[in-house]
Amino acid sequence: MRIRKLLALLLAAAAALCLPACGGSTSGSNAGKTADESKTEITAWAWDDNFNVKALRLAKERYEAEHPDVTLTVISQSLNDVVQKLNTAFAAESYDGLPNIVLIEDYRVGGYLDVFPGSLRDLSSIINADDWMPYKLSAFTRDGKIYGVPFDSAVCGMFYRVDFLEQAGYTGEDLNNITWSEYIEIGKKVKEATGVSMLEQTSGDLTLMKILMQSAGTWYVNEDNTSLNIAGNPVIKEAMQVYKDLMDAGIVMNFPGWDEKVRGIQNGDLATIVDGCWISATIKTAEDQSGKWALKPIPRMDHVEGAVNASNVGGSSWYVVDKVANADVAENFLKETFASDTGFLNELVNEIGLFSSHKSDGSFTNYEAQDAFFGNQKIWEDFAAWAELVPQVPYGINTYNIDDIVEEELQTVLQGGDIDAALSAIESRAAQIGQIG
Amino acid sequence: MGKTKKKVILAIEYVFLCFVSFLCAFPFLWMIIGATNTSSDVMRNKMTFGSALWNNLQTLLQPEKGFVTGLSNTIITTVVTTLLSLLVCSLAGYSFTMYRSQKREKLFNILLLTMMIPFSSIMVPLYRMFAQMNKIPVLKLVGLNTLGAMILPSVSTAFLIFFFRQNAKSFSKELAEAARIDGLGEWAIFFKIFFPVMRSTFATGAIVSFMNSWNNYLWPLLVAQSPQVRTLPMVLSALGQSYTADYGALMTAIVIATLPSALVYFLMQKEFVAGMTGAVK
Repeated sequence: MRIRKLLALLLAAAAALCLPACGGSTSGSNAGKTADESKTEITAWAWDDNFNVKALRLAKERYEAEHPDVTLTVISQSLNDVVQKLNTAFAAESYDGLPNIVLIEDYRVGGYLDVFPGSLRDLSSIINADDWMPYKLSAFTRDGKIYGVPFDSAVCGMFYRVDFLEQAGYTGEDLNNITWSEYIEIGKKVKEATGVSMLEQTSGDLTLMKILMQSAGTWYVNEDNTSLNIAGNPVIKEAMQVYKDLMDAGIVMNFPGWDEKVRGIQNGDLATIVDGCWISATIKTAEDQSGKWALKPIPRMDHVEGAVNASNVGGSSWYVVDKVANADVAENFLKETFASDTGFLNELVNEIGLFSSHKSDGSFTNYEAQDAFFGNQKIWEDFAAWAELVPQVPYGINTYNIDDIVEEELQTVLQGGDIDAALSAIESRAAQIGQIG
Repeated sequence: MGKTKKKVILAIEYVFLCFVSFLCAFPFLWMIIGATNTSSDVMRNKMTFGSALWNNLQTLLQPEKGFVTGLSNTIITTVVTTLLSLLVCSLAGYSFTMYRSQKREKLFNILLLTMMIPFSSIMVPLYRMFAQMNKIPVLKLVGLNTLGAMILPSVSTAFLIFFFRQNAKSFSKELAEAARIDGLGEWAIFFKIFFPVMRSTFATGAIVSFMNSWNNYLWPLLVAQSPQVRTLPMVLSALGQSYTADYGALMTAIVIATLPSALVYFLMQKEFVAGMTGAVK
């Protein structure tokens, strides 16, 4: 008898523990709906409290003031977690609990559009294609339909230390629209005169390869977004050569990771940084270097026809998950905020340093701000001008997975391996990647 | 002469052991030091204790960080999972040794086979299953976006059943027989004889289950959709992954997240070792 009592007690205890746990959580998730029946609730996911989440919260304030019947819940979680959850839910074809609006990287969205067609909503009707830089829209345009609303874009520039270049005998004029071979020559002189490295390379980071490819209008895949375009691609071949020449010239400083790179910038270990515009925020953390930095266009590839002194690296956009309830409200939210409100986008330039890839039609007055850190240069105006030049490329569905392969094969090239062989090896390995990256 | 030689060898051994234990302990030391420093000091590799612990704690306790919710969710899921899995798996393991049937070995082999299937391959179907449960009134309690959904799949694990079965083999059947003759029922034999005798096995099982559940990441991440049901590992992941992470607060959070596992292990260390070596009292 006592045993039965004990057992009953144990089960009761387990149930008692379980009930508040399960009950509490379900009521929590539905709280918004039950609290006020008249309000429509929509949800949005993003991943950086100081950047895109902050932008969402500002947009929410604006939108809710206009539409008191709508509540937007902003959920912040890490980028990897967002990707993992989307992959699983889309693969399971279960849209329960997915958000209405989600921010997805441009390099990654092709996978969702091509592998899970129909999961993201066609937003052509709320986006005026003429308002935006074409290279940005192409990442999420399929068969003429636009599936996303641009958020941030990372048009590239070459930040340089004025003092180091002066010591090597160069002025800003000498850096205007140069080629990579000229860049390497300058780099050697700078290294000689100052001992400072011209460029950095962070392991596991293929930023430069992507900058080079897009500056010459090519990518790992062809226009159809699926067939590979690596073996025999003259641009990627020359890009690998640029990597090798840079390394052979001994002007590159290697960093094991992002944190070390930031420390390197703060220590003044680098004469130039070739990266997306958002790196300006990182450079500015080195307050003692204020006034020593300036900005020029990135170098262009020597032997590729049509290569320009402009490129883009990364960026992300907003999407509406089609099968989640209230998708219409979510669409309208994007329509009235990120898709059309240039006053708001202009505000975000100052709030979070946003470069949205919206064509500057005079409403982006904040682009004209002079930045004392960069010697009073109007860096955003420059970025906006260069963005007009960025070639349009198809990102395909596997950019990050192919990056990993390219990085491995690049090592063999840097050690003297044949570039053509490396490209063929990359292509045959890339052909074996599964569908989702 | 032989004595000095021995001493030298001993000294070398100790130096080596000190070095290895330093290697093992260093990350923990760095974590604790990091918790007391500001983010920029952590980035600067400052190796001395700072005074920012209180500030870091306050950052963590901001409601929008969800740290307290995460901690309490993790405690609830871990305690419930540990209790339930011990009950279910010990009963299963016990039955697999104590009762004979023709299909027993086959069934057990199939059970072992499930240990070979990686979780990522059953992730999507499992997710679908739990999404379906949301449509059924009672099962809703363990459907997506509940703590129940995090608990249920880890209540019965092949490893724990296997572990209890192996250890139950050392439990003397004569003891059970004697109890039966004395008129004890089967439940009573399990709870009054088996449980006290196999205490160290239960303790080991508890530690294993506790650690797994405490650190469980992938599945809870998938089923948790609203911030109210996030567990601690998810909160840590969110803290560390923005473009500008607050490393001081992150280190403080990790210290707090590591403490319970360390405590549980140290408190039950003796039983754990005994359980692993299969001692019967």
